[in-house]
This record gives sequence, C-alpha cells and structure tokens, in this order.
Amino acid sequence: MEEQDIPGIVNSLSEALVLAEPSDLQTLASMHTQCGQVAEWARNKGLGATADCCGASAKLLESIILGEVADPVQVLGLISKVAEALQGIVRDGRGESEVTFPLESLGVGVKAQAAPPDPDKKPPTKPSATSKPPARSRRLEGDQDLLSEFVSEAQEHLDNADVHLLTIESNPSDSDALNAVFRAFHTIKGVAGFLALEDIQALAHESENLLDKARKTEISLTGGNIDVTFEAIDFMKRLVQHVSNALTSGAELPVEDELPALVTRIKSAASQSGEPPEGESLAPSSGHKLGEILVDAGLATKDVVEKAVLYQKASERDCHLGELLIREVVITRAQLEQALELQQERETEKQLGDILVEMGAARLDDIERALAKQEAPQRQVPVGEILVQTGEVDAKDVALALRAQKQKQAPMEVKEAVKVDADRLDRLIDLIGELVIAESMVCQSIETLSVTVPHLSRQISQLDKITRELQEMGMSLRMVPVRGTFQKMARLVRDLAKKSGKRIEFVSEGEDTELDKTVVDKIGDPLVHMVRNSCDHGLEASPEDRRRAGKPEVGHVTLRAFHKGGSIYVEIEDDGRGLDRDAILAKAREKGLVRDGDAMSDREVWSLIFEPGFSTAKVVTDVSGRGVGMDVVRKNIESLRGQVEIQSVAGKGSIFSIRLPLTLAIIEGMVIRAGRERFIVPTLSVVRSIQPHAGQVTTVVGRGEMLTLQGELIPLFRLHRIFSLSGAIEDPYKALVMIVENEGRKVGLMIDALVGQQQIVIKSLGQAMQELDGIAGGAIMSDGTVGLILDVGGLVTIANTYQFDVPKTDTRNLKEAVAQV
Amino acid sequence: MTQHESDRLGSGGSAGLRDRAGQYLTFALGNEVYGLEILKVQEIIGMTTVTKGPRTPDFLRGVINLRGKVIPVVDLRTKFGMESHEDTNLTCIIVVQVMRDNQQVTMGVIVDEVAEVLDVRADQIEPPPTFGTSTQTEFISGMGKVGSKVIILLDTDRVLSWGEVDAIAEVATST
Repeated sequence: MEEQDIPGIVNSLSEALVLAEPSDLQTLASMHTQCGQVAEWARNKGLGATADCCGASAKLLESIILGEVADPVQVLGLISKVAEALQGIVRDGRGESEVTFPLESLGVGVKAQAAPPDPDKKPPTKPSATSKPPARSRRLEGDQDLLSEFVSEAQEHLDNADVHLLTIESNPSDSDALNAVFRAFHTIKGVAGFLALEDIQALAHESENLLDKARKTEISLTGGNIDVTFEAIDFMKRLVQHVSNALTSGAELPVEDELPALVTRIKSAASQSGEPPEGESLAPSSGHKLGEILVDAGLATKDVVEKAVLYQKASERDCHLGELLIREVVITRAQLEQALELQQERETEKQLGDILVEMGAARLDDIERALAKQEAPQRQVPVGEILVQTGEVDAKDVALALRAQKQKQAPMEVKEAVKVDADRLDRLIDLIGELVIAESMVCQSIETLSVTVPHLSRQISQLDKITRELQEMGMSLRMVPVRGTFQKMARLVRDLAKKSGKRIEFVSEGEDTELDKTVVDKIGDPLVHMVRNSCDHGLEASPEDRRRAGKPEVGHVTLRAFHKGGSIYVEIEDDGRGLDRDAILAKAREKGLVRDGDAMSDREVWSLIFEPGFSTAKVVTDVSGRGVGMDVVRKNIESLRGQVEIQSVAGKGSIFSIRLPLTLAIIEGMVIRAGRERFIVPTLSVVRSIQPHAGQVTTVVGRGEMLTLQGELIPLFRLHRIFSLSGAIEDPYKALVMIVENEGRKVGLMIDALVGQQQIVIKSLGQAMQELDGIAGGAIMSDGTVGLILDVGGLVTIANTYQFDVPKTDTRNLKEAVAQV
Repeated sequence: MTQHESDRLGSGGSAGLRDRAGQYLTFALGNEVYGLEILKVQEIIGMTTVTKGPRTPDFLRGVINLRGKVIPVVDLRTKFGMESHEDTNLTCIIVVQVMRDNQQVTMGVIVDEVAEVLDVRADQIEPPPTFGTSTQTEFISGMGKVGSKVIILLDTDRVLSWGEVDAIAEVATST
C-alpha cells in the first residue's frame, strides 16, 4: 500500500459514504475494500485505534451487504464518523489522539493507546433509533424482461398456491400440498430479492417462515393461520399486479400501507403454537371420484355407483339400527326382515333390538354397540365399502381403484409445457387449415380419383389420414381445461362462505373439459358473478333457515362442465331457495316490462332477470347486489356466442346453464347465393327459409316490403339491393326468403338460393374491410376461397334503419330507402 | 391534399431521392412500367379467386386467402384510373408489406405482368413530374431511368394507404 494513495482512498470513501444507499451493493463493496486498505496502512503505521476502527467498519459494511443489518442507514452514519476522523488524520495531519473514533459504537475494545475523547467535541452519539428508514426506491429496477417473466411466473405460482391451500384446508396433513405452497413463496422470494422488489421479498419471507413451521409441524395450518396464508397470497397477488402495472405504465410502485400489519399478523401466526383445527372444512374439489374410476375401469356400472352414492347420502342422514347391524355383520338381512315382521305382527312397542336379542340373532352387547354408533356422529361410509357390501364389486377391485385414485391425486400431474407465442400458434393453425384444404383438393381431384396404381392410392389415403390427425391436433392446440377457472371459483366460494357465515360445500365436476383459451379467459367474470349469486342469493341466508326448510345445513353449490351435442355446457347449480316467480313478475310489472294478465312461462319469467337494471338482489333477496348485473353476464356470454338458461324450482334450488360453442374459430354456417356472390349466414341465427307464395309479400307505402308469415309481419330485405349486387332474382315469388333472427328481432332476407351448410373457420378481414356494414368477417371455404360472413345484427339494424327510422344525416341510406319503395 | 403535396416536395429533394436508390421489382400496367421497393415485396402469386366485398370502392378488388390469412387485394389499373381489362394468364398478385397507422399490413396488388428486379442508383432517379392538380402523383416517389427504360417508382406505403385511398375516392365521387 503506497503512502500517497491513502488520502485519495479516504476521500473517495467519504464521498461514497455521503451518497451510499443500502441497496447499492457495488458502492458498498468498494467501500469495504477501501476500509480494508486503510486498516492495513494504519496497522503498518502503528495506528492501532485507526486500524481497529477501519476493520470494524469493513465488517459492518460486509454485514450490510449480506443484509444482516436491521438499520443500514444508522450503521452507515457510524462509518461516516470513522471516515471523518480518518480525514482528520490523513488530510490535516493530526495525530491519532486528536481525532475521535466512535469506538464504543463500533464495538471496538478501547485500547490503551486510544486517545480520550476530545473535551471540545461532543462524544459521538449513537444515531437515534428513530432515524428515518431508508427511502426505498419505488421505481422498478432491473431487467424489464426478467421482471415481466417474474410477474407471469409469480401469478402462476400464486394460483397454484391457492389451490394447494384449499387442499390443505380440507386436509391439513397433506404435506405435498404444503410443500407446494412453501415452494411457491420460496421461489417468489428468491426472484424478488434478485430483482430488488423489497415488499414482495419481505412478504414472501414471512410467509415462507410460517409455512416452514407448518412443514415442521411446529404449528398447524388451520383456522386463523390458513386465513392469514390466504391473505398473504391475495396481498402478494396485489403486489405482483402492481409490478405488472408499473411495467406497462412505467409508473412507480404504489406504497402498500397494509403490508407491515399483514407481516406482523403472519409473524404472530408463525410464533404461536398450533391451535385446534376448526370443524369446518370444504370438500376437496380436485381429483377423481372413486365411483368414476370404477366406472371407467368397467368394474361397476354407473347405476350401481349411483345407487351406492344415494345409499351413502341416505345413510348419512339417518341410519337404521337394522342396517347398521347388517353392516356390522351381526345379523343377516333375512334375520332383520324376520324381526321387522315380528315387530309388525305383534304390534308391540318392543324395540327392534330387543326382538333381535329375543330371536337370538344378536347379542345384547352387539345391539348396544350398534346403538351407540347410531347415536354417535355419523361416519360417512365410503362408496367403496357400500359397493363391496352390496356385493356389486369385488373388494380387490375397489382397493385397486382406491390406489389409482391416490396415485392420481398425489403428484398433481406435473405436465411438461412449453410456452409458445400465441401468434405463432395461430399461424400454425392457419397453415394446418390450408393444408387440409389443399390436401382435399388434391385428393378429390378427378385426376387423383382416376389413379389406378395401387401404391399411389394407398399413399394418398395415408396422406389423408395424417392430414386429418394434424387438423385435430391443430384444433386441440388452443384448447385448455376449465380446471384453473373452476379452482378460482372454489376459492371464491370459500371466501364467500367465511364472510357470510353460511356453510357451503362446493363441488366441481368435469374440470378436464376443454374449451378454447379465449372462452376460458372470458368466461371467468360471468362465472364469478353467477357463483356469487348462487352463494349470496341462491342459498338460504343461514344454516338455521336451511334447517327450517328441511334441508341439510350445508348448502351445495355445484359447478360442472360437460360436452353435449357439439356444445359445451357450464352449469352452476345450488340447492337454495330457487327464484321467486311472483317477486320477479311484480318487479317486471313495476318496470313496465310485463303487462298485467300476460301469461308467461317459467322460462320467460326467469329470463327477465337478464334485463338491464333488473337487480336480482332486490327482487330475490334483501342482500344488496354488487358488481355486474345479470344483463352484463348475458352480454358477456353472448359475445362468446353462448346462451344462458335458467331452471329453477322454488324451495329446491336453481340451475344456471351456459351453453358455449366448442371454439370461437369455427362456426356452423349456411352458404347462400345472391346474384353471383356467395355469403355465409351463421346457422344459429337462421330461423327458417321459405319460398313466398303470391300475396305474402306486401308493400307498405314508404316503409318498404313486409312478409306475412303465419300472421306475423316481418320486414323483408333484399340482400342484393343493400349490397348492390347485379344479376339477382328480382321477383320475390321466385326467390327464397331466409328468416334470420338477432336479439329477438326477425327479418326476412331475400336471396337467390341456399348453397349448403358447412363448418366454417372464421378469419379476421383485417383493417381493410373491418368496417363493412353487414359483414361480420371472412371465412375460408372448403374450396380455399374466401367467403364473407353476414352480420345478421348489422343487417337487421340496416333493415330497420331503412324502413322505419331513417336518420337525416345518412343521405346514402335515405336514397336507398327511397329506391326501395 | 396540399399537406401531402408539401410533404412530398419537402422530402423530395436530392437527399430524399438518394434514399430511394436500391432494388425495385418492376411490373407492367398497360404500356407503363412501375417499380416497387423489393424490400416491401413478400412474394408474387398467380391470379386466384378474389372475393369482392359489398359496397367497397372499385379499385379494391376484394379479399383472397393467402395460406390461411385473409388479405385485401387492390387492382392497380382501376386505382390509377386506367381502363380495366380481363385478367390474362400473366396477371398476378404482388404481395407487399406496407405500413399503415404504424402497423404492418399485408396486402396484394394486381398487376398486368411482373417484369424483373432492377438496381436503380441514386443518380438514375429524378423527382416525380407534376401535372398540376389533374393527375394524382403523390404516390410516386420518383422516376427511374435505367438504360432506355423509364420506371415509375411507387411509394408503397402511400400508394396503398387507406387514408389516401378514401381521399381519392372522395375526390373521384365529387368530380
């Protein structure tokens, strides 16, 4: 160490100290080196106190870097004092005794040669403990890509953690789930630390501690503890969302005031010993049911399983002594029947048990044991046992199925997945579609069909097969199971139940049902609303109310998804009160939606709740509604080309059934011709097609043409006129009229011919033709050309605009309307 | 329109013309030879079935299916006000990538015949002629003279940008 370097080092050390931030690791590290250098120099020079102080400072810096110091700013202040003293020695040439080292604060032993404190200077005071915490950097630092990756990963982890936590709640000893939640927080903590996201890191750290204790079974994750963990997950989601927002907007991270309170709660949860688990639990919603496995394996028929489940449910409520005895293999069924007969014959008040003892079929202690069991809280008899008892299924098969069930549940099926850019995926699907068209054009061409060489035709059919498979694979690429969405609902029901004090059992079925990714994403909000409705308004307000209605205290909300007839159904069923027909009707009359004396079917009445401003809360219950109304739910679902239907029985419950198309990319279309052009009409909106008879078409002066169909007047609209197509049939009695419907309004569309029906892949027309009136989009037809899909809604609007309500500003429309008359 | 004019003149100095040097795909429309910047050209495909959209301007011939992607196709003859004639077996569609509202858009251009790819040097480019207001020239970026040939170099983004298309359509209907 060169003598002349020292003043420079000390100077830069002092400067660095002024600017140093506890988070600036690089500066801290260089300060650490500088302190070491000065210490070495001082030792060589025989300046013991200086060397010790520098050494101690270096150590302190090291612990700041390692994050072991609670208040780094305070420590840095201390080191500044050292630097001040150093400058006195080095620059001003003072002796070691003339300067003050904060030896005590540094924890350095006061040595003999250390100078007594200068009387003129105040002894170095320890910086007050109330010194302000460091102004944390609220801006995002670090690599943008890494941050956005972190956000998406963290969200995934948190969603998983939610699910596992639900599992833990119903089964606190599930160590796999516990480990999974722990890992989620652990990973988030690690990455957040790396990206300097302090809030997230702090929260993750405390949560990890709590979960770690639970892992070591020092505490049990039940009751309040699990609530805190749920809270932590929610808060973490919020923090991650902040990061995501800050990433997109470039804004600063907002300060979360509630974080310290939550951290304290987590800490206190971690420090207390386990509390007794609450009795309440939620049925596990994941995993396959034993019955399903047995049916799948062909070991039992569905009927048998259903019977067993019914039996299980029945036995849950009341279990007859006789049944109990049979189950315990004390008596046989024949003996029981005999005893029951005896009881009836003699018309005695004698108890069944006594009779059995009299008969010698059972011993007194057996009966007593059975009676005790009957009194005791019911143990739910597993379906498997019932199946074995009734002799329907072999015990070994049940055991095998049970094992299969365990295996299926245990590792949560970690599937390898690759994240792919959605654009590339769409491109691939496009190309597969083209391949299918090109392939079918080659295979169907006359030249190919007349090929007589056997090996060539074999290869062609092989090509055909591969293409079909590729097409199927392509279609499935965008399909994802609804599991994720359903699991979120499980969490929602849990929270709602906690909040409202209801006891709700949530069951989800058909989680493996696959839907187009877009549909799955968009169905979330309407589902949340409907599930909330079912829990809030559908189910009775309290367990007592349910008991009074003669139902089990635990309310059931079932969410199920299944395929039926080319569509996917998502149903929300509750066993609550059902919709109140009279209340809805009263409200509808009040709003002028229905007239007195209108005879309405249940279906029509139920669909009233989808009317805008028709608050279900005020009608059906007194609980105030919130969030989107049912009209928004219906709109959301209709935008996915789906439909909602309601079935409801007063006092028994309701089923909200959502029908959705398999995919948004394909529709069933009717190809029509007008003039020389072909168009596609979505089959869903076609009511019927007719060839008008003479007299059916009437002209209303100034109001265009009307079609009389079964007493109904339908505006008639010539497609070729609106689209200015030449060569179309002008005589309505020679043309075809297709009656199309949109949002309940009907309109007749005059066309030349129906060409056929086919599955059509919807394509965007891009910017070029986006705003064409009456055209919804394009489609690739089976011959590879582009067809245009008519927008029935738009056409109806145009038709109505022409005929009834011509806006003055739109002169072009006016002209055409005039031309039409 | 005057805004466009001044833009063009402002950037149409010698520096602007030098930027236009490069390779051009030349094609014929009637007796005229036009050039499109080669970097904007994605591919050339033969004439195929074009689906006409209802109530669209005439020069917008319709849409085609380009390997699963639906793209609009512009008939350059109609667009330039030339007499239209039946498609021949030399008629083809040049697929170009243009910038529109800062977005890359793929579209097709129907031309009579594709000729060759030509290297046009900066000193071979002259500013576009002006014919007063009677002829629309704002989508011409310059005139190239290679050997004895005169090539009309098109400003691809501008010739196919819809904003301008609408403006032209308006002009066409009002006159």
